[in-house]
Amino acid sequence: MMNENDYKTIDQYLQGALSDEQEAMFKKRLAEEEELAAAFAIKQQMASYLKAKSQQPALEAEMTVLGQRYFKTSKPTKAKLIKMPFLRIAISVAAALVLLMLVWNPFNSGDLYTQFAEHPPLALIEKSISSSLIQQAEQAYANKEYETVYTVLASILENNPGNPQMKLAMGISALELGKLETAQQIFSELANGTSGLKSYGQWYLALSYIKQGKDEKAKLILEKLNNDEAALKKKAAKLIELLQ
Amino acid sequence: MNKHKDQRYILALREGSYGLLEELYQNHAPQISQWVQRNNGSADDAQDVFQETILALHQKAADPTFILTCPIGALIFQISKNKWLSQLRKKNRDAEVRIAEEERYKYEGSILPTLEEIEETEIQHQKLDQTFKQLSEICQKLLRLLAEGVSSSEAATILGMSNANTVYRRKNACGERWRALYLALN
Repeated sequence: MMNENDYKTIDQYLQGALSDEQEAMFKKRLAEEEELAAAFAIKQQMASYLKAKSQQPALEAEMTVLGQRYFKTSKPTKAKLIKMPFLRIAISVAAALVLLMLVWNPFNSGDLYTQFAEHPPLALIEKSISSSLIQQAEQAYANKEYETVYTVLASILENNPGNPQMKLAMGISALELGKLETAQQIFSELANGTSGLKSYGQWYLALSYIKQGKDEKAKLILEKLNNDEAALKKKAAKLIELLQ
Repeated sequence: MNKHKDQRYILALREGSYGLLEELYQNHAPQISQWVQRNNGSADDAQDVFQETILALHQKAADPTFILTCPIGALIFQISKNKWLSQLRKKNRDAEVRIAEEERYKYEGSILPTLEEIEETEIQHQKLDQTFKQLSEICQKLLRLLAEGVSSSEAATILGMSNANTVYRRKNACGERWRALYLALN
């Protein structure tokens, strides 16, 4: 017979929280107890379902880009427009990226990133560093050549404390390049610091979570955004609304 | 059965890192596109079918016990083919299909068990989807948050619950409700 403890054990097993000995015992029971095995199977399916669902928006966004690249369609791609109460995305024929509104409502965030990721112009100044390097990074940033920005700034910041503008530019580049862990490290630093770019750190941290499909985490940060940057606060309010 | 070297694609899908995804498009999109278009479909249809195929693989990849035992190209081709055929059947156009197999996708071993597994997961996924949407707003939010890796105490803060214990008990209640709805469907 199943008891409450059994459900707890199933959870712990799925989270990898059992000791080797407990795990071995649990697996033995799975092989012997039909009821336990059935309950376990469903829990497993539910966990897999939730995981896949949380990854789906990012996957669909990626597939949209790749689909454009690898399927030559004779007419402009029809987007699957799903009725969302607040937003209808127009398709740009010439655009390399087609913005799709995704079906699954609660996890919808794959293309929100692209919508809101408009990067501010950044002037990178640092007295002690060669101006040509800085100029190279600045130019590359303006041209959205994020690979270059990232490489140049990473090398500068290796030997220099740098400044918040450089860190933000590097974080943005990391984000655009999909180096999410690095990006989040940088943004967290800015968000928790006292520089003038604190709000930007918070904003971009939220955006990085959106890119990962972690909507709830993003919302939490956006709600706590500092009030000093009116434009950001406004964008954040809009984004929070879209995330409902 | 031995793990195939293409298991790395499954792992990439499971982890949500889509760097390898482009390889799949590069290596297999042209053939699928060709096949669908030779069988009464458009390039658009091919793109849709391919996308649905990848989604199906992604859903299966979320099962941590799944191990790929055949070349992924052969699997992609079969799944896409089946999906396109069922679409044509709905429109009664399957009579016009030439089931010419792509030579390079002929696979010696049996893909059938894997195909069936994947199809089964798709059906389960649909049912879980349907029943999940019947849960209360707070249950859906809670389960989603916890699945995203948020800790119980963080979730408590976000959702305005007293503490991690409350979250845990609520999660169990939501899970039980979901289970009941799901079992009722079967």
